Amino acid sequence: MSAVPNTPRRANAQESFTPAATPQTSRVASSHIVQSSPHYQTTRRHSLYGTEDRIILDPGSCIWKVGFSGEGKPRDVFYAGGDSGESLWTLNRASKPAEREEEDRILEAKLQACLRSVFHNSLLTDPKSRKVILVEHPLLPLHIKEIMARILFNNLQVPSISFASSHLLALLAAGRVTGLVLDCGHLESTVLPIFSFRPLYPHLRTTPLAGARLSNHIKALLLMFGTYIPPATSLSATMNIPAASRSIRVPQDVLTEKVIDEIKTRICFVGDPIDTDGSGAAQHAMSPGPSEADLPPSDPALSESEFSRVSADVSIDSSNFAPSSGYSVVSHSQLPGMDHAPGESRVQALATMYGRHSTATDIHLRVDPPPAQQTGTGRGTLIVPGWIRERAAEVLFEGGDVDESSVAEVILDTLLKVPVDLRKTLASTILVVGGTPMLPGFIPRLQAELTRAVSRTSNSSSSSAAPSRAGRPRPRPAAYDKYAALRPLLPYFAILNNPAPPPPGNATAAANAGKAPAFTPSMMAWVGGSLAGALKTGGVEVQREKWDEAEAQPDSDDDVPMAHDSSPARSARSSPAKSILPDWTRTPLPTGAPPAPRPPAAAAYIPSAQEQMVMG
Amino acid sequence: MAPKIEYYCPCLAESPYPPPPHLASSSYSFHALHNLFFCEECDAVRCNRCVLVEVSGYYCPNCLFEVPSASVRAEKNRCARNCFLCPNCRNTLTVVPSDPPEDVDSRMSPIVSTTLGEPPFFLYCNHCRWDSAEVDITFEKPTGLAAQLQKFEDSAPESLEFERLKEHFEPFLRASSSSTALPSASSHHVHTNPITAAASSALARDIPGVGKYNPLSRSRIGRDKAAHRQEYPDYKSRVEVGHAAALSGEVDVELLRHLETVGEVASLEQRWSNSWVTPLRASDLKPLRIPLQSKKSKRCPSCRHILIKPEQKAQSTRFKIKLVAANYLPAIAVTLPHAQAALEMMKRSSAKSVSAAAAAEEQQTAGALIAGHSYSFHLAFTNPLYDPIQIRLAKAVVPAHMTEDAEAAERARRSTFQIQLPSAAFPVGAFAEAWEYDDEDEDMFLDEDGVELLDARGKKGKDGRGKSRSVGIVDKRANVTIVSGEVLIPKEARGDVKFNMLVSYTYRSDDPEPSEEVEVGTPSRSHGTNKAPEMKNFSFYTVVDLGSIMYREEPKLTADL
Amino acid sequence: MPPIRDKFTIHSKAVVCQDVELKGDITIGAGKPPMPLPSGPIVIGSGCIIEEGAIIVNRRKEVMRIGDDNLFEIGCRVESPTVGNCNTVCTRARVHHTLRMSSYCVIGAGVLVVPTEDEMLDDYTTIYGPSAERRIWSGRGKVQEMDLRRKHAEYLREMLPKFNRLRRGDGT
Repeated sequence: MSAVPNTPRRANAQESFTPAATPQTSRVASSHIVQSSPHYQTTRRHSLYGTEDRIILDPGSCIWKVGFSGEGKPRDVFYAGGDSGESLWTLNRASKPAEREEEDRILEAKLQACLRSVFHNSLLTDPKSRKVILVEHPLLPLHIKEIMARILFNNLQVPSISFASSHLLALLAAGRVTGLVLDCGHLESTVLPIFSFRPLYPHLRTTPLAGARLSNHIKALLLMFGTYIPPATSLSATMNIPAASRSIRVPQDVLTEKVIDEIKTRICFVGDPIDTDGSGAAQHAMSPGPSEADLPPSDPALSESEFSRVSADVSIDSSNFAPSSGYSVVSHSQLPGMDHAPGESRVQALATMYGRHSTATDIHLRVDPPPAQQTGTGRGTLIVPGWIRERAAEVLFEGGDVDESSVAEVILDTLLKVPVDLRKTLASTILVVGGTPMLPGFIPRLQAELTRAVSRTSNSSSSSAAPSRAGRPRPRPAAYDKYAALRPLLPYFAILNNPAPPPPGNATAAANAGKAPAFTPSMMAWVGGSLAGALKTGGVEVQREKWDEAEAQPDSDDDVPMAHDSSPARSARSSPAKSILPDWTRTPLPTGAPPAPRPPAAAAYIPSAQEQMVMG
Repeated sequence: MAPKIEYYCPCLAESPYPPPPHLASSSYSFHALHNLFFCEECDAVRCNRCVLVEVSGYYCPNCLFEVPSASVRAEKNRCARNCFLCPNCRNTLTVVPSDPPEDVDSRMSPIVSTTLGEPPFFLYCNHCRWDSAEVDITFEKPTGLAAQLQKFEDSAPESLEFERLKEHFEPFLRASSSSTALPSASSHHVHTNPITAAASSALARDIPGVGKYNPLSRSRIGRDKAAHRQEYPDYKSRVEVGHAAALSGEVDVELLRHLETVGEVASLEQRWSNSWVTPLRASDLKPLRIPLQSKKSKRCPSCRHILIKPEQKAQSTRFKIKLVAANYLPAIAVTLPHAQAALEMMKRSSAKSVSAAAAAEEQQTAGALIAGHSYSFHLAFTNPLYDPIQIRLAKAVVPAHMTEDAEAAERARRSTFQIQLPSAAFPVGAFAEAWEYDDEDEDMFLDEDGVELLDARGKKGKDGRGKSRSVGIVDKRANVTIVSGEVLIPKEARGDVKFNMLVSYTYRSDDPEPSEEVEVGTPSRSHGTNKAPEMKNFSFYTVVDLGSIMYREEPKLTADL
Repeated sequence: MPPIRDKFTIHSKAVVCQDVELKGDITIGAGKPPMPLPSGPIVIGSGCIIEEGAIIVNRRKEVMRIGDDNLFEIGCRVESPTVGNCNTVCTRARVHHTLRMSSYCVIGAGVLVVPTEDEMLDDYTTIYGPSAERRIWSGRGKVQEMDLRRKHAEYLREMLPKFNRLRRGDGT
């Protein structure tokens, strides 16, 4: 067993490229280092890449994008959780300290593998001479940020890390400095208003309706409505058994993450809302009573969504249709192990309805048979009904739940929160980024949903009148017109990167809708990061010296007990993050709680960051 | 699953103790011996997770051209010669000339020599028969293809748009950088341009509402807003998403609606690195330039000495410096004799008649560890050193501070099995090149160190059927010694039989070094049979994984061999 | 099933090695092949190359017709009732008897093609990869490929008799 030096990192820091930066250097000194950086640029490996290019890391929970600043596209994109496509972290964390610690250890090991591979395999560059811009999602948990910083500084020894808000960077890539940015990623959809470069964090709104939820939903739908044809049982059998007679329900094992991902990214799209005004009116005329009566009673926000229409269709088909609507059915079907018995007729009805409205073709997909049934005779066939391809994404547009607003509602909720004088500007500069909006048709559909959500209560009088007509025992309370305040904004709604903008409502919308450059939604944040790097700006920069310095300090000033770490070594290592890493959630605190020397430091700190941007 | 053993690398951790093996995270700290390095300076094991990696050269894996590092950047880490990947199946593409004009009866025509190709040339995939002419890429000459394609890449819409964005934002930053030259500006107030200040401070620090944390800048905010209105022109996109989407957009939805097979749409991996809106169709994919690879040298993270240094030439697979742990630490192989015996039996008896899958399953059950039994296992130590060594084994001690209540409970629940290891030190013969060619039989008399087989079969394992099992040396030949240990699995045990084992060995040191660098917590020095003054000691942790415990109502007979 | 009566017709220019296993009624045109198995008759056209370990089986009663200039690589297994011209079946590929091949098709290495219903591959179909993906080849480069194949056959015709004992058909 080796006698490892007690503070190996300290030694490393001295030996690396900035000999001036001893751990004893004060903050002022470290800002001098920034000024002296041209010096080391000329001395250190000048030929290789030109060291002023920074590395832009956009680490998602699922997919990472990495590359160099100043380039229009990333060098590499990969699944961080391995080829199986599972995400590195989820929205949940273990509650028990021991489990949580274990979870963190696994996460750290995986992140370390990813980060090392980024430098050594994707970018083929020396991390010690590369500044890093970390594209940071505003809701990225602090402990994950901390782990990443620790790996980058200690294991890879990068000279500095800048943290930049992903939403702001995405907006930059659209050429704007003001806008309402919806990031619809894997775990969450998050809306952040930005005014004149300033993210208005207190108005941030989020919903778990995002890529992961869509995957679950596709899986649930396929388990119920998909068809699976297993491969032939043996090669020699002269079978010619018609496929129809061999087809069975989809075994759960067939629907691996990979298969679901392939379905989601290759063959799914988002159809138009089913009830356009004209046809909706026609259906109203056909079945006025039940269509209104089947509205879920407790969800005023749901009101006119297509599920009333769903229910209308359904109640024609099957008279014993329970009144609690397709909405809840679809929600239930999100659970993979759902019970088929009670909800089946309703879901079936929903499927019938979607199927009738969908002209999308069924797709035959070749899939690996479940491991238990490997016969060595090739792959099975999974038949994905066309309506699932078209309607799976409905789950993202179903609102009404207080905790899980639809992606349209989450935008409107944010608009309700922002100062009144900003609403008009923000409503006309909506930007949609993230991986999920890569679904063809997503953005136009979102636009339609926004319009509908705002204008839907226009006929709320009739819908609130309906229950009494239908003689429901429980009268519905008068619908709360949540978005009434936004209705005047209706002509202003414009999505910057809408590929097929509707006829604009007015000049403002016309000047904005579809005017963003044609970068893909998923890549906007990365491109913005590259842009920020090329412009020599890019957010709070944390130097390694400062990190080392903070790490060397005893954790006496660590008066905020975070996740309790058991080993003293670990808690000592996690302490610098609290004082050094930027964290917007702590900024608004008036007395600058955690690190004691905050107020004097803050004054010196911000300008030094600005200066870094100038100096690069 | 075959039993296996892995070696612990502390990766500069403060604690020298390995993590308890039942934690899933512990698997990241243990590595197979062939993946480990050894730093002679620090006298420590190093792994791929902790070494510092440096690029010592770039090369194209296809043409093996060594790319000078200066041009790597410009070529975006890709081969700038003739190497391309098929966008469809990722096979390498070959350059082929066009077919000669087809005769009416070309099939019957005599063999014509087509070595002299005719332009246009195109890239062709031998595997999936994709060719670049499908996407209208052809070449006038069969060399320097990347250069011929360069003009397309330079005019890629995303880079043009990117430059335009840069130009759009640059004036504000230029204004700010000129302001830094102002003599009055202290380092804290360099930004006189309010926009830049807002830009950088917003990027730098996040502001609640429109207000700012620093009361000093209150007034600035007001000016920001005004300035925004006045000075900030709207960005005019070079290609608006609406126009670009004329190709995709609605068309994509229609394409998908009428899709016939999945293959028509490019997969996510085929298009996810595009930052520009591109058509979804697989038939629009462009050939990819082959990414370069690098030869890496590796350094000890602690003392910075080089552990691995490859030869510069891309064709060479040799190393100038290669300090791998396999040359320093004894290699250990773990086997379960009862599983092997069962396997042999099965091979002999049921070679036929059983389907492959069933046989595999049977093998698994036969080699299983069944709760309520005890099994012996063999550890074969192979000495890589030219001197004989003495090895002592010990179960890993759990350091005091790691046994917290929850963890201790966890441990108690999981590791209910009992491990017995030989307690005495045992010798392993020296390595000599000759061993590699030796037959298995002629071994004992070559024993150099003269240490006899330990008769310390001291511990007699208790066994349910009265059969005795030895814990001690089983076999010793050449530079390999096999010792036997025993695991006792109680009836209620579950999970994996996985335990940490401390291996300490004493070796003769050629060049005496300061003694402080040896031994972290190894008591074996006092016990070594061969205590010469120049003897040194090294110990390392391993994890032994014997497989998972099977629970069975009535144990299978074959398993009790 | 009546006992298979062996009847081999081998063109005088065809090269068939002695250790090739032939069963049933087999007609081989000019070219070089080895080893098929029983059932209905098999007719192999000229210029075909059938490599070591390739298995060609006719599972049906009617005549299995294999056109000209086909290449059956090492260890492949073909049961297609009809095979057109200029096809390539790569190493260890397996083609089931429900699949018929027209011309210029390529079955990639190791691919297993088991359509559940009878199917006719279009000209220039390429099947490749672990999931037996399909493409339609543009056909560019086919002249060169066929040239190469004919050179290949020519070379084998020259070299094989030097190292193998040859088999003669019943007719000759």
